[in-house]
Amino acid sequence: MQQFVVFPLLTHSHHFNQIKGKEKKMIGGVFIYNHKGEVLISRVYRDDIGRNAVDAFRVNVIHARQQSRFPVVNIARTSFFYTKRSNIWLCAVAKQNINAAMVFEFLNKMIDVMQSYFGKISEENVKNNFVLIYELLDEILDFGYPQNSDTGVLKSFITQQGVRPVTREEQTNVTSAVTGQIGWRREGIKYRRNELFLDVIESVNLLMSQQGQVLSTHVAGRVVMKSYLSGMPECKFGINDKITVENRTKTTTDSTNSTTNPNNGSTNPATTTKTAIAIDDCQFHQCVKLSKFESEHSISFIPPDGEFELMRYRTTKDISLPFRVIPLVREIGRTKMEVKVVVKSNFKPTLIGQKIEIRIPIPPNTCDVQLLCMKGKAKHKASDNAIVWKMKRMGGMKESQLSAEIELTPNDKKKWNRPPISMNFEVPFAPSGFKVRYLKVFEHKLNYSDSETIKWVRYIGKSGLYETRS
Amino acid sequence: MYEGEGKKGEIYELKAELNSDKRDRKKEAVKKVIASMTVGKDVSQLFPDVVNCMQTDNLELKKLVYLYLMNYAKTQPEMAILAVNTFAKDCNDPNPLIRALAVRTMGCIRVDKITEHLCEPLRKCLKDEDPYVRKTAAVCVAKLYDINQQLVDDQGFLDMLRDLLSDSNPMVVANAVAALSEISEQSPQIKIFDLNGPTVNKLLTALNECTEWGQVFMLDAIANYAPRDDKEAQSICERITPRLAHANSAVVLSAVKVLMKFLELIDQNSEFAQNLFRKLAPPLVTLLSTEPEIQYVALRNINLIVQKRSDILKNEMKVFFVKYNDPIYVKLEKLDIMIRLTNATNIAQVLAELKEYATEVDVDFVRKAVRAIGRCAIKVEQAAERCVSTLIDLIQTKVNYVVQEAIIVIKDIFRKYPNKYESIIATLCENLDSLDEPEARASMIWIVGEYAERIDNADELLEGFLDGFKDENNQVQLQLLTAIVKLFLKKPTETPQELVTRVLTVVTQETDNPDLRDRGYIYWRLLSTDPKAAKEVILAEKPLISEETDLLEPTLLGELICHIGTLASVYHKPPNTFVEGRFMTKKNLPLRSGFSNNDGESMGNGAVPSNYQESVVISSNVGSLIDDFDILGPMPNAPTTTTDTLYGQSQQRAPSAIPNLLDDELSSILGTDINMGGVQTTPTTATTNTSAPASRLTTTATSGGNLLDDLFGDLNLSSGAPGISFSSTNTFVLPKEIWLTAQKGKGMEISGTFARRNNQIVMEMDFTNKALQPISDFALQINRNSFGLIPAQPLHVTSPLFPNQTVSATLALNTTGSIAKSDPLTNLQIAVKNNIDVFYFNAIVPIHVFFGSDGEMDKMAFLQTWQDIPESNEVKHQLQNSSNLSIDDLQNKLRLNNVHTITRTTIEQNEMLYQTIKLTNGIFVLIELKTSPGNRTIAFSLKTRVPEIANLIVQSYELILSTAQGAIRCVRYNIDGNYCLTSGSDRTIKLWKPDSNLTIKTYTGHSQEVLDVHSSYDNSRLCSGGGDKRVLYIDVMSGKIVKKYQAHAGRVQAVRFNEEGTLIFSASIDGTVKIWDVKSREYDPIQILDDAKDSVTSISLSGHEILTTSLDQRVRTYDIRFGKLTEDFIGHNLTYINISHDQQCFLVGTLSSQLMLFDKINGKLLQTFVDYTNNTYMIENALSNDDQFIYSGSEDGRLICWSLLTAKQVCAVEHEANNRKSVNTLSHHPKEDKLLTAQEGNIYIWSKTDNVEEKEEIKKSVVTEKKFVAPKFVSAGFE
Repeated sequence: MQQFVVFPLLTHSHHFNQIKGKEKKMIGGVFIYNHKGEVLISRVYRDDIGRNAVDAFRVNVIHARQQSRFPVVNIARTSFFYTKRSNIWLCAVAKQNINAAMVFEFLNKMIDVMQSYFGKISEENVKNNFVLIYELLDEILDFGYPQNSDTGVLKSFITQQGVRPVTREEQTNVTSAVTGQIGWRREGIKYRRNELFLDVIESVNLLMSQQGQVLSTHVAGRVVMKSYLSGMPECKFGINDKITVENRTKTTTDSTNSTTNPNNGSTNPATTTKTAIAIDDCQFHQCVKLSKFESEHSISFIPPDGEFELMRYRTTKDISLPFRVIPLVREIGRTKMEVKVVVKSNFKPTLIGQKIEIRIPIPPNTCDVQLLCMKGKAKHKASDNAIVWKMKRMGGMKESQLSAEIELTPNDKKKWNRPPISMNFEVPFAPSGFKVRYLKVFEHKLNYSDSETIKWVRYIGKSGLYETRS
Repeated sequence: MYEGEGKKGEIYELKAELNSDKRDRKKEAVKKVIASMTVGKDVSQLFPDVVNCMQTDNLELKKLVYLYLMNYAKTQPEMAILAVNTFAKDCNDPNPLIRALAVRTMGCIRVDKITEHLCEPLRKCLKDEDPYVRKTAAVCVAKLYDINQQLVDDQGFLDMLRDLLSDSNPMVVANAVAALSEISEQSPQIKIFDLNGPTVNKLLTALNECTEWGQVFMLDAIANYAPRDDKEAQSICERITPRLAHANSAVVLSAVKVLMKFLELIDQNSEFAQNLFRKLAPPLVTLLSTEPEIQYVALRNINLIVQKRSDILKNEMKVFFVKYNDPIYVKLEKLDIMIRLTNATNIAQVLAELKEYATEVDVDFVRKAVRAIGRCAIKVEQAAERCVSTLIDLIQTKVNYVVQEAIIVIKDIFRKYPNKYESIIATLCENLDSLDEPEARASMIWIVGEYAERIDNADELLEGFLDGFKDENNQVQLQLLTAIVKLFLKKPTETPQELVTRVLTVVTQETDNPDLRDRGYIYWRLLSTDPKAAKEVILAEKPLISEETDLLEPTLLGELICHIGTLASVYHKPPNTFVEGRFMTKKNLPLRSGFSNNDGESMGNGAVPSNYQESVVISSNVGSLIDDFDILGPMPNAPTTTTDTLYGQSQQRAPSAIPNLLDDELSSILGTDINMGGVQTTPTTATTNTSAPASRLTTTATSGGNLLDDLFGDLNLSSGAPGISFSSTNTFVLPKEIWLTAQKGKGMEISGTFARRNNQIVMEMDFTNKALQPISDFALQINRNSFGLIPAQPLHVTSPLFPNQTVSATLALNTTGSIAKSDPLTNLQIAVKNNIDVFYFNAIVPIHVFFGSDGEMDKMAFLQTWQDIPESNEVKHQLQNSSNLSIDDLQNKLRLNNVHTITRTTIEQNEMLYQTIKLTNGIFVLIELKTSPGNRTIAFSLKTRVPEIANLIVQSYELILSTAQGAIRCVRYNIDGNYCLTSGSDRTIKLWKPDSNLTIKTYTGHSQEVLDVHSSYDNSRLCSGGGDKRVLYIDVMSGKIVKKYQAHAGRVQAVRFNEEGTLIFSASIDGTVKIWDVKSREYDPIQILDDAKDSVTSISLSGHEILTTSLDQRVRTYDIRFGKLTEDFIGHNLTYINISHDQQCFLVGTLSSQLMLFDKINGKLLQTFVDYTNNTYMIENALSNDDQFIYSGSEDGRLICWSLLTAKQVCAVEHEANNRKSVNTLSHHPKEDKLLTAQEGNIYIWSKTDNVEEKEEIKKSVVTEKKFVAPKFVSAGFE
């Protein structure tokens, strides 16, 4: 592949004439490179971005990886925004003071869209789908302005097998979907059984000090909904958020049995005593009417068909940490180390945690590891410089222990700063105490009632960045 | 897709496929074309074939063809017309997707001819029934405006676009907003997008329903709206607040921007505002769980928000704790915000975290963490003690960069809490030697100076720094100057006085930095006129350091708040600093009505007079501003406006107001500045300007007459010390200056200077490519000028010049061109052409390059001419002899620049010089110089028939007199004698070709004088040692320093390579010889010979033996094969050793004026050579190649030759008549009978000749001046 591109002189002079006094407020171009810095995709939207910008990024960022430590770099008054997925560099270029947050959001969105079309972002996949990528770029970025980038909508008229033949009726459906007020749902959907599935998926993030003191913790929760509902259903969603609950108790003080209903709390025994939780912040899918949430604190929406993420939330208070890791690292001389790690589960004994994995970092100059664990399997992974201890399952209120003797080669001069011990797990409850109180479905035209819809609710607690300093 | 590259006829194949009947083959072919286009191949010649494929119903194929068109239409405007019809047709297609595609693509084809055809379809599409087409058309208007603004105006598209703001479809509205915003920013003078209440209302309604991107466009537009009053602002805020819950971070940040801006208009204490503040925190925190890149953008913005309203996130400290896996850029930002949020309640937690971070591996991060601990100490008084002890712990780790950072912050802690923590000074002093970064050194020096009275050996410490003064960074030099003066004022005893003298001399006479020099003169003046005042000023109470250390300047912060979410907020710089193009409207935070002056938080907007803003900044913040600048080094974004004006004042006024230096207002400015040891650097002004007031000060100082008189007496003496005359090899050359800026040169920057090299005027230029594309095809022309300069050869520049590359070019000039008077006289108009354009610029030629070498004149002719020229043409001037040159030196210096001295007389103790200059165009200039003893001014008077040039001559005299000086310390032939090396007190090493009198290369890298240099036997490398205690290993060809060894404790006296060039032996006055393996990657010596009891003065290598001499009066012979050391006690201090060529004897020089020859095997004294002077210096000696003669320099300026066998002097010749300066160094030619010697700055070659007749002109010396070998040597030596 050519490295240096000599462009006809004409473009140069043209280029310079255009620069004077012009404001280009949006993304000037998008480039995709492989790890060697070869261009796989180059789409230029603005005149002020020339072919030389492609080379400038390669030379100054890709080939000089060590030097650039920021995701935005300014080279010769041109700003390059970039991100890397596996071996692929995605880069957006602009000459002006453009909205940086938007550019990165766009790059991420573009990655999502590409992934949903052809899976993993790899050199192979990008090369094989380059026509499709150009087509997508043409659609989602006009003159550098991001346009509708919803995967579902895009898939309705841009396909890998070429553009779907569409009837005139479908065409208007497509265009109204792209631009329309409810771009996320088309009309005329019908199901024999009206079903919906709600998954409350929480990631618990923890940073704990050596001494067992919680330095920071938060739960990042997502409510993912799969809806198979006919027509244009309007949904109302209720959770045990403190504000909502308080509002409700205020308005319904006369009825005494309204708040605690143990029937639907069966899945969440760890927090049965708590009735309401404090949500720090939440975000909703674009289908949720934000103004209504702001004024009435109620979540109402017309759901897209199929799977989507209804809501994201974050809590920091009263989190029940499912596991606790107690590390004990002793360095015995320069060539020996002793590591002891105790894991305690901290939830109801009737529940079972799964997919438990504890990763204990060890120095890179390790030459031999002797492992002993009470439960599960432990392995020394030399390539990762870590001991990986896996347990398929672990009941609540249990304790397990691993001890390791590590021998080191003494020649390594560099100081080893102990990286934290990290942990992965999955538990069948929401550590934040989040509960779905209700989800009501109203469909006025088709007239199926709320009670006829079948609803499934599931709670999953997962580990996010769950770390204990050692 | 990428296969088949580089095949011959590939284009031809594609062409065939494109014209194929089969639709699939066609499509594949277009795909291949696009693939080639992507990788940057030129496939423009396929244009007609690709356009032919446009007529298709296949939407995918159509899209590909359109993509091709967008790329190549510009290059083939004629062909692009072919596509117009298809576009027009597609715009009427029943399928809205095709209509939109056509209108979208049309706008991207930037060909004027097509543009006209675009209007009708566009108008139609703007009113299309389908919203998808309308939203595409809206953007197309912006595209069209970019091509042809007039057209858009004329066709009324702007009105149509404004109508779209009321469209029923939210996405159409969003794109219309985007297009209008862009257009209005392109033409800010016309009110294209005038936001008013109803429009904003429309936007706010559409906001709820459009896509995430559309919301960003709208919020960014609303941010530019100025609400009428606080009520409107409040209602807009209310409607925007829900956006904070959006999943797209760009929407959140844009909403935050609007809220932050509009909150300025709302009463800060109202319940509404308080509520809003509370609502802002959670979404900002949520941004920290996004992808790292977005986190980075968010953190940079949070950094701004926290500076503006620190209470918003005051309870959220924990979320900024650094995670192990965070990318480094996120870590650094988090750390910064942590410090801003630190307060008394959370300090314990923060400190524990910071301690943790200080043990990480990433250097930048650790440094920042250490600095953060110091900032905590300054911010939270209760925690100061804990912070200090943490810092002390960190210093104990001895990790170099940690120690340096810690010292920098401790200095600030001292400032903040005087008389509290000084007990730790001793610990700090222990680490003095490990500091190698300027800021740390400067801080340490500040501490030493400030607490001089508590540090017993403060004078020693400072003296240690002073030794390498010239090598230090500016910041360190300034601090050192102040610290030494402080020391002197605090302990006015012997040593400090000497130090002050030294530092003031160096600062005022040997530095080019105006800041340093000015400060030097101010101190000098203060010390000499009123020591009491000096004490008051220099040792004054320092203002306390402020708590918040690196806050952005408030107006800048205000501007950046208006740019939240954008690049400006990421870079923390206003857009005009990184954006090309014309001046942009500057954004300011709005101003609330009823805003009160004492509300420090509020800021002015554009309506407030600018001086008002400034006064707010200065009065409230002056202390901290200077603190920041001085002590913490440059802030990330220095508050340029305010500090510049502040410092600008002192800069301009200091020189002109010298007599009233202590005026109240000025001293208050200077006082603070001086006390804190500022490091401001302003752009260096021309040397000519600064030297003038400088010397004026000198005179007043000497005539001052007070208790410090003797101090300055010393000063005068020291600068007149012996042995510092210097002859430069060519006429002096001014440093290069920028002739053509990159901005004017479309990315090409040219800097250059003029010089006279070997009697040829040359133009020396550096070409730098600051553009993105390579530049090639350089050519240069010179316009007609006063002296007829024209290029003697075409310009040769290595081409192409790649981005960020710099090449040097030298162009010889003749003065044979046609003449036209230019203005000013020495102005030269130059045109440089490259593949981009032709550029014109001016350069001033310094007049001295025109001084011809043939300007000598007969005495009588001189007198005659002088009288012939009328009195009115006489120009008188006072020259400043600031470096106190002797009359000889003066004459020498001028002669090197082709100023010829006709005669020299003494009239009533005044030395008179009569000189002539002949310019290349034949104009003679006659000059009379008068110097009187003890006076540093030289009376200068000049006569010429062309009075215009008089001032130029005066300037060139001033320049010549102020150039650098240096003596030659060492001369060495290389292995075959074809080249020679010299090194000198000017810190350089020069490589010469002695036969042709050519300097081949100059090597730099030493910070003090270079005492010895040796070239390897294959001539590829050099080693050198010098007063800076370093040994350098240098590549001869490139001049690069391959290795730098910094291991001796004293200056390095001698260096030698072994025969293979793999080892360097270095001898130092620290009493050791160290052996370095240059092939090894270690920087430690492989062996140290530390047997000597005193300084080792020389080394000589012979096969397997190393011989050294030392001032402990012994010669040591190390036998490498047996590992045996033999010591010979000689009984005299030894200076230099030479082994005879037969390896049987060695010859040593002694400090008792005798050379002694010993038998190497048994140590027997064979011969003693006397009758020369050597009592003080390290005088070198040599043996002739046949071991028959012995040569040595002498301290009385002679070269002596003895016969080895008889020990009789065969000759003794003076280098220059009447010059009795010592001849220290000499080197014998390895093959021929030639000798190289040096006296002061001149180098001499001596050669043997049998022909006595030719004694007048035997050999030219190396230096440009003609210097001939004394004949006696010849006749006496070989009879």
